Amino acid sequence: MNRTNIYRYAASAAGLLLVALLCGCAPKKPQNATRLEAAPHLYPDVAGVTIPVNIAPLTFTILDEGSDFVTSFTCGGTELLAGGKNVEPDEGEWKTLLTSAKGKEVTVQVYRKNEASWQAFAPFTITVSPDSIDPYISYRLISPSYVSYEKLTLNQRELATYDEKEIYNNMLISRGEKGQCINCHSYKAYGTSTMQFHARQTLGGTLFVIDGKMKKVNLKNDSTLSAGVYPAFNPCYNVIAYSVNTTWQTFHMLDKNKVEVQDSQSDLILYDYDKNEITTVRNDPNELEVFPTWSPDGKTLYFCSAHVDTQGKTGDSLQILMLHQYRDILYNIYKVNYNPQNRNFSQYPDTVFAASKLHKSATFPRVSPDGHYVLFAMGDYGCFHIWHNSADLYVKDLVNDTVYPLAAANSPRAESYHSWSSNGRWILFASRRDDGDFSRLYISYFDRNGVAHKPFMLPQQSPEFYHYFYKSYNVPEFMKEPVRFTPQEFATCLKGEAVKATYNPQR
Amino acid sequence: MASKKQIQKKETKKRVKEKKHLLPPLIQAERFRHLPLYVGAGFALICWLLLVVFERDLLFRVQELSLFLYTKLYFDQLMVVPGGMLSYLGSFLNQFFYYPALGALIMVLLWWFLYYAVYRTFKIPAKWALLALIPVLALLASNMELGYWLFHIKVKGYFFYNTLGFLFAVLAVWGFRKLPYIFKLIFVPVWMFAGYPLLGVYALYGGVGMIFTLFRVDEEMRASRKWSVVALILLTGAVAPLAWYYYYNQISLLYLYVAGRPNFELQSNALYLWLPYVVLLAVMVVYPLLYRKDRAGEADRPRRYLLSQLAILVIALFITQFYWYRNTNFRAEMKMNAAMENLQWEKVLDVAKNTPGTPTRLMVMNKNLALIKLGRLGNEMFHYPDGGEAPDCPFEVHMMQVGGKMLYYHYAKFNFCHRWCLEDGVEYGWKVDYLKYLAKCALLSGEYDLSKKYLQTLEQTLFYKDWAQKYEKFLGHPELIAKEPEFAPILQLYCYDNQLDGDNTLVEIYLLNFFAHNSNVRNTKMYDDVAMMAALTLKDIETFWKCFFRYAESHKDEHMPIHYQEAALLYGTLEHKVDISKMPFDKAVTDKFKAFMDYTSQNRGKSEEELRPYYYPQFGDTFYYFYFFIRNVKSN
Repeated sequence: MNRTNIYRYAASAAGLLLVALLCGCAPKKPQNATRLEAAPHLYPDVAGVTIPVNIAPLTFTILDEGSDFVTSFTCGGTELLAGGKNVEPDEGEWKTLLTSAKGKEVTVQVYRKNEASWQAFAPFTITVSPDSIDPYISYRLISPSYVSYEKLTLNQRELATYDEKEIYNNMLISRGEKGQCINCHSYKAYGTSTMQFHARQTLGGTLFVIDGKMKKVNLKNDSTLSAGVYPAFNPCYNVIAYSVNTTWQTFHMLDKNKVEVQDSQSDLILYDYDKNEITTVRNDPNELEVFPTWSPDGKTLYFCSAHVDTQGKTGDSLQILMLHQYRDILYNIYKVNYNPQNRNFSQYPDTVFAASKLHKSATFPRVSPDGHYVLFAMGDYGCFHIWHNSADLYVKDLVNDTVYPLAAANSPRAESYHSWSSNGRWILFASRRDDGDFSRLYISYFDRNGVAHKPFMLPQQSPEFYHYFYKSYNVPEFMKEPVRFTPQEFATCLKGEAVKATYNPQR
Repeated sequence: MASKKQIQKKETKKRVKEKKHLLPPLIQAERFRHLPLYVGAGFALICWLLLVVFERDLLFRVQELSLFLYTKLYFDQLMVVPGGMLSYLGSFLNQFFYYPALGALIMVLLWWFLYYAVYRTFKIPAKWALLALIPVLALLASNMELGYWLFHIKVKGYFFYNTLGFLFAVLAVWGFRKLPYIFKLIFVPVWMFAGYPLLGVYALYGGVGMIFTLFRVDEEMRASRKWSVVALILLTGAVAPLAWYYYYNQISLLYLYVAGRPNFELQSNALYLWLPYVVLLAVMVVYPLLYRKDRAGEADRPRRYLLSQLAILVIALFITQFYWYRNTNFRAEMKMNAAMENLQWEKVLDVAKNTPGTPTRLMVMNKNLALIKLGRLGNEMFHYPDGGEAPDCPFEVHMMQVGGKMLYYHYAKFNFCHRWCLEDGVEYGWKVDYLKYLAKCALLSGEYDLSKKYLQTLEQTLFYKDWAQKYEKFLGHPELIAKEPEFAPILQLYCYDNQLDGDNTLVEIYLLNFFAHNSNVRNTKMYDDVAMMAALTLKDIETFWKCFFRYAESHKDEHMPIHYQEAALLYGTLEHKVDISKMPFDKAVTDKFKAFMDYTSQNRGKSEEELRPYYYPQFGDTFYYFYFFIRNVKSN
């Protein structure tokens, strides 16, 4: 036997050993398992959810006791097996499974070993929608504190995988008392070549990317309450609407809502980023106008407003007034027409939904890409629904003029910060349903009948991830493409001088 | 004829004899040969004893203010900054302070090893061997100087962070010294590029040591080669952090070359905190210059040698002791904290009684809480030292960070305790201490899912798993919670209405005002007791009477506590707004009040400062003394 042959035999033996080991590790579907009537308890709960075909594997933990577990995912002739208490399907096999299950249901069967015998829980299904989802989402990760912040990041996540990258991290510039708050990232028409986010305090300003070019703008001027706050890119024209707010927060001594974030003053402005010019949209002192958003054709501006009789008060006395009547501050949804030629708005707003008549407060309207629905959060009072357990998602059908809750998507805890996918078939939102403190992202299928399906939690590689992750997901947005600038490039821009926007009092 | 083996043996013996003869007399003596090592061991032993005897509570607090989880996510989250590995290892070792003696043992063993590594790496002459203790003392100082910085430090695993970082840097210098030229050229970039993300600034410390070692140690190396290695060190030392800047999104260019440094202020009254780090850097510069090929050196006079060693030790210890933070109030607060964690309320009172000097407001608050728990507030509140000594610290210390969370928890202000645990968790990192209070507050306010989350995290620790499991049994069981001795008295104070509020980080002021001015029909007897404490402390007469009558109503058939009688007597006499003539004061109370008034009339015209030492022995345990002599107390 020559030396080459010895190597070949050795390599073959090693290969066989490896295959044997891999086969030994691969889970095997138990035979003759006893049927149980009970369904398995899972975290996150994936039973009965509807998912897009291009989503990363849904991982979950089986909460029931057992010495070993095998989970099978089947659709037609395709089967995927995953072993263990933490079910983490292989990414390649998952992709194959979903491709074959497009428009169908995947049956999930969980087996557990109890002492020497195997038991099969009642199977459940996962529906694979034929409608795909935008490939990326972005969100801010923030610890659920109220005043302090140290590290804040804007992140983007590829939905077909678990890949997550930072768009920007405030620690690149600042820390401690010279901290920098970042918020309100927004994109024009789901693209990232035109986008913006705010940086506050140290080296603050609004960072714009316009057609791929970056600039820092100072939107603060003496004629408006503040720099721009809640943004809304017009999907068709080169303007962006903002609310400008005087905001503060107070704390509940007993209530589980824990914190109240209130505006004592609030107006709407429009920023023309071609002209670098700001104009006022609405600034009624007895109205708290906030949360602007555009119709898909860019010709209607929706917003929320709460009527408050300020009695001519300003500053601290106004805040005290609002502190005492915080439960009576109720927001309705309105709209005004926009004329892109002269950049004027209709003078009198139309009421889209008068939540105050129900003694409720509706916030954060988002119009579906087909213009058929307005999705909003409704709670008992106030504007900061992400801390209100009463907050649920609702839609207004603009065609049939009906309003109804998205029952399957809601929970007893807060739902808010919702957005539509570009095809209008998926809703991404933040919910504190898990524990009340930490908001997590959920994705719900919104079918052609206007019904939201049971949502699934943004999947992570390890199903235990959320147990030990002490950040909240905030302002989730869909994107058709990733942000291509690096965090360091954004940092360099933010370190530079801001271009001051001019204020045009003419409307 | 002698065999070949015998000849070899003889030759070996001869060689050894010749070698011994060449060595200086001191080193020939076996008993001195390992003296530096023994001295290092002795030093480590002394340190260990000092730490265990005097700093037991501090060390325990160190691990409470740290967190180590056996999860991948925890590792990933620490590795997002240069030096993350040191934080990971440091936090891992920190947890052993749960048993202070064990944690201290690990620490001193590391110091002993570091001492020996420094001694060997820089081949310090025998007679100066104890110079190797200087970096150890700097590290000791860097830990023991902290004081209240303990609550502000942002470096995770701080107590071991610097020791490990410097140890790795020294070992790198040792490795570098041993390598031939070509391998040095390979080692330097590997060290810088791989060391910087793991060790942060300590990779650069190692680079400094390498430069200076090069010139002293490698005498045979050509100058051109030396300069090429120096250039390589400087280049990679400059480039590696810059290259990593584009990998890490969490470090600003400003701090790139000092990544992992503590967050001490750069202000004149806090500059001393930086000295240990300067010393460590100086070690890397100066010690290579002490390098001797023959470490035995000229240590040939035992007495002189021993004296020199002793002198180094004494001087170093003398300097180091200035860095050992020994504030009695700080230590008392640590002791009280440990006692309160274990619900040992008598021990809290012992500490309050036996701590000399003026207490901090936190100590006073802790003492009052202990008296409330023991039901002795009204009779003993003023039997302990009172006042408001500011914490001994170069920056303003907020009670919130030191002990405020625990106070909020025990006063049933769960939302506020929760809030500050989150705020500080965000600012300074998650700690066992915060997670425990988050879990307990959520439990008592009925947020079981939330409590479970925090308990789940604590279950991932080495030493708090049992603790978490103990509290898990209460999830979803309010009936068990109501019966639990720890919770029952707290829930007696959980009888107020919701409102929007804020404390502006002023725990004491907030609690006093809250309990003094908020009452409703659901208030318990304990609540009224706390309201009395608040009213007496605030010295607001109108508020006192409101609380007094409420207390009298809820404690109808009980004896009115002495201090409440004293206050009623004093306020009634001072203002005559409330008729106290029919109040059944104790004779002892009226007698003491009369004595106080008589003594006061005898001493008219004297200043408060002059009178205080005379009044305290006679009336220091009365409300009168508190009312007139404990003034201008600032509470943060």
